[in-house]
Amino acid sequence: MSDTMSTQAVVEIRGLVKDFTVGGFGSRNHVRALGGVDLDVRSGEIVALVGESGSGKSTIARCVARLEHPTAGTIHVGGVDVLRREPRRASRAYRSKVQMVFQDPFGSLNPVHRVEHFLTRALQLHGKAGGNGRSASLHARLEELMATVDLDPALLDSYPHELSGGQRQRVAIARALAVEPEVILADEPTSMLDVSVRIGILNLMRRLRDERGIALLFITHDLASARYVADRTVVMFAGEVVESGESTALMADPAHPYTRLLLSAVPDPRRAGTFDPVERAALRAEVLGATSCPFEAEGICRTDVPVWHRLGPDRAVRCHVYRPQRDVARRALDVAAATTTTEIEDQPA
Amino acid sequence: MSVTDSTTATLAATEGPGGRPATAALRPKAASRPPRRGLVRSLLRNRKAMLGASLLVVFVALALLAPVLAPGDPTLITSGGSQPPSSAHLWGTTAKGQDVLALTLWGARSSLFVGFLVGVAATIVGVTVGLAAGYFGRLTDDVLSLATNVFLLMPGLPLLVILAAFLPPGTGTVIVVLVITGWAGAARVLRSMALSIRAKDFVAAATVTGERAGWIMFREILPNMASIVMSTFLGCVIFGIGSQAGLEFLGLGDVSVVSWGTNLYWASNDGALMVGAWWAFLPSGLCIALVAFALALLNYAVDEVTNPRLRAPRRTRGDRRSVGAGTAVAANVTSEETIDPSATPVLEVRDLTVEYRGENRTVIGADRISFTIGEGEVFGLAGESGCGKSTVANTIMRLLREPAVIAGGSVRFCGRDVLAMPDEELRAYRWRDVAMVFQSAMSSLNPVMTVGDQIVDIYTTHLRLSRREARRRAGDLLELVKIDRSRLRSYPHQLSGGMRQRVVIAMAVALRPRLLIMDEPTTALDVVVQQEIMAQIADLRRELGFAVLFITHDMSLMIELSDRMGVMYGGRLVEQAPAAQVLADPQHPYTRALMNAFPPLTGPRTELTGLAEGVRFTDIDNLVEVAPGHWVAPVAAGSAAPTSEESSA
Repeated sequence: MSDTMSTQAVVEIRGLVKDFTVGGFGSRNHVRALGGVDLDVRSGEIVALVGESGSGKSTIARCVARLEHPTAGTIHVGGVDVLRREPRRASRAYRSKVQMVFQDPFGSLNPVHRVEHFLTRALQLHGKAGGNGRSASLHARLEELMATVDLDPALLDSYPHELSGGQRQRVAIARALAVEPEVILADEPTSMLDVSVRIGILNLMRRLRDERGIALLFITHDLASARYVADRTVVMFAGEVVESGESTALMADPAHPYTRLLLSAVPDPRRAGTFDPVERAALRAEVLGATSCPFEAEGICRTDVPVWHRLGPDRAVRCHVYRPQRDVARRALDVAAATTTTEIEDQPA
Repeated sequence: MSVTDSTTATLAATEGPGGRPATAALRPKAASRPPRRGLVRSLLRNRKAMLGASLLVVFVALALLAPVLAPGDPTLITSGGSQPPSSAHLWGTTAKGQDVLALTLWGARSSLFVGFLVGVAATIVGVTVGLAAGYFGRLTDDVLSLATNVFLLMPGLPLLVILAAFLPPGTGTVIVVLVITGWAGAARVLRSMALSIRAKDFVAAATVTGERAGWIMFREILPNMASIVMSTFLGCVIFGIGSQAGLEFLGLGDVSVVSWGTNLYWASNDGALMVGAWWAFLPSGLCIALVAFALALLNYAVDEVTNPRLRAPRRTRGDRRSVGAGTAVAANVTSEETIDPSATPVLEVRDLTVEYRGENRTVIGADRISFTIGEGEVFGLAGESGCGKSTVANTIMRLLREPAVIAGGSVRFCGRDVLAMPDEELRAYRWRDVAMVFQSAMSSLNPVMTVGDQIVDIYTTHLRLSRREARRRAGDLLELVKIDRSRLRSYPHQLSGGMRQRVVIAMAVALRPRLLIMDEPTTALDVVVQQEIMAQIADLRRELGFAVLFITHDMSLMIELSDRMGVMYGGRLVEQAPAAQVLADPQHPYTRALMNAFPPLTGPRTELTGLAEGVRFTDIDNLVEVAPGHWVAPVAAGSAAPTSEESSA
């Protein structure tokens, strides 16, 4: 929208914790999916949330979409503490601000309805149908939505099974757009699509940001896609955010050992240096293995939770390696960007 | 930045004049037909459904027309009792002299009415309870499930008898009693169905859109259970008719009402059985059986139509023979035969054509595919879902099942004709000569056997080793994929996904095959684990020297791993070249689109344009050599445009 809003956080997540109960009836065993996550999504920005499967990326989106109830922490949307104001169920007003696009376009569109149904419902529920909610003005809105996502309006009469995966995902995006949200949570929107149409979806996301100022939380395990669309990238590992920063800078110069590992695992023939899987496997062992981390020998990660270290504007990492007094260790990981390291207490990602 | 992107849609319509059946079928065009109308249409074509429905229609018509058709008043008591069928009374008379035909026709009214009403009411209660339990979950589910189970466990007939005895007699009472005892079964089935649909993304999507619970339950979830609801309804109707007859036969209904049940009650009361007056009870009994039979047929047909696996496969024995005759069809050898890099390739696929013969149409899965794999070579087959790459792999393993038919071409392994192998040779060929790792291979391990036992089985059955020797070899094998020997005693669920995939790969190479086929071996795993697995395979290949046929849609991964590769689209090969050559100089627009599908991790951020939605390449020609070893399908001038040009962001 306007530049004045661009620095304001649309979604502000603080200390988000989510425990899942495992086991059967009356079980008290918990698995911690999110261990206190801080995350901001600002207006008109795409934030990529990357990490391996099981790192808690989707859980964050599902908490913000109010499909899961977080165990602890706060979520502010537009400055309002939503968990306090609507503790049980999200209001329709909240839904009109926050929308979600799911991973599987084959599963997220009900097979018994036509494309028109999905869009019409979204428009009607949020009073965006125009006029009395039917007739010409509604149809004009539908066609406009279809045009926005580059779909032929003739497809309005189709059923989901008649569309390709890419077309379905565009319908899902159009449904999210129909309510004119401030933020869209996109949970791996391209991972189930044929590779040749993925770029089209990524480009659509970029366009929504540029033309409509919509903020996007883009969840992906594909670092290349994150780099391609996202202004900022946030790296998650085992339910916690370990690094965040401007996407190209972060990928060019990853600070956290885990980010380095993730990046090294991405096959990219265009990258300098040829594929040596054995070498990369060694790197993984080095980073994650018990002897790799210069602090692990002291067991510091187990006793001390690492704090945030600011590496530059918009750039932060959470790792003991960056403790100022441990210059030796920092050199061990050969991180050049750490020259201006300062320790701060609670740097939001 | 947006300008380039928005053009993709306008470029989409470049369909060639002669659309190939393969691409047309794999990517269905917009031709609106609701899935539910498909159910009705399929039912209309189903013989069981038609027979059941016609029987029912006959009975309903007879019941409706009873006042017209029936010879007189059924309740009229005459002096001519217990007469066998005659011209005056076509079906005879009861002991009280009532006309049996009239009784049967009028009885149909009450029986069918009660049956359908019970069906409707029990289904409505069952659907509501089941949906609510499945949708709301937690406490609601606990309470409703408990109630359902209590009603299910209570012995039905005694409950019926007790309820019927305490309530005032009458048709209404019978219906109430039957609904109370009949809804629980429906609720239980529908609850589990609702539970599984509840977990689907479209329910979450509707929630996010702002739909309320009632709408989601009845407008989003319920339509997806249409077939189950229908068969539940039919089951409830059968239950209703049967139980009503049972209750009334016991005299627990209103015996003054004419129904099939009361007919039987009176027949029994009057001792029709003892005096041999078979005509008094046979018509009503037969009618109950026939209606139940018709409903059961319909019910079965619904199951069959909605679950295609129940349908008997079409006999295509003649087609299967063509597997052996494949070489004869391959007369039209193309110019690609000169691709051979070495004298004796491990695998030679020539003009392989596979068709999927459906009920209505034939879909081409692989269309005149030719390639060779040399000794120790890694050959990649790239392409997207539905392009036929898995079909090719399954053909090489001879794993194709109906309705797939090999319509032409040949597959040779070290000179031996794979498609003509007898069963015995085939058993040895699979696994010992050629092994395969599937995408979902991790889940192909037997969950109730230890990993060790499963590997030992390979050695004892294929190499006839002693168990002790087999166990030692199994340990060696695990160590080969960097898993500790002690893991032999682990069950699959105790290993991580990556570890299980490594075990599967180890098992695949246990018999030292000369060719390993990998069909998307890492798609289900994340990048870090994927990279480990790939490292493992590279290691194993160095050690054991097998050739690899590697199938994936990830061009980056493929180019890094493969020596040579082919790109498939719509069942056809569109490009074939050394991997380095594809990276440096991709020729076909589709290859370029695949290459550009993954943005780079380094360099400036430029805007890419993938393949626009709906772009189709049709009538793909035979490959032409454009550089040594680099073969490309010629591209028509028009279809080159809508692909991957790069422009700066």
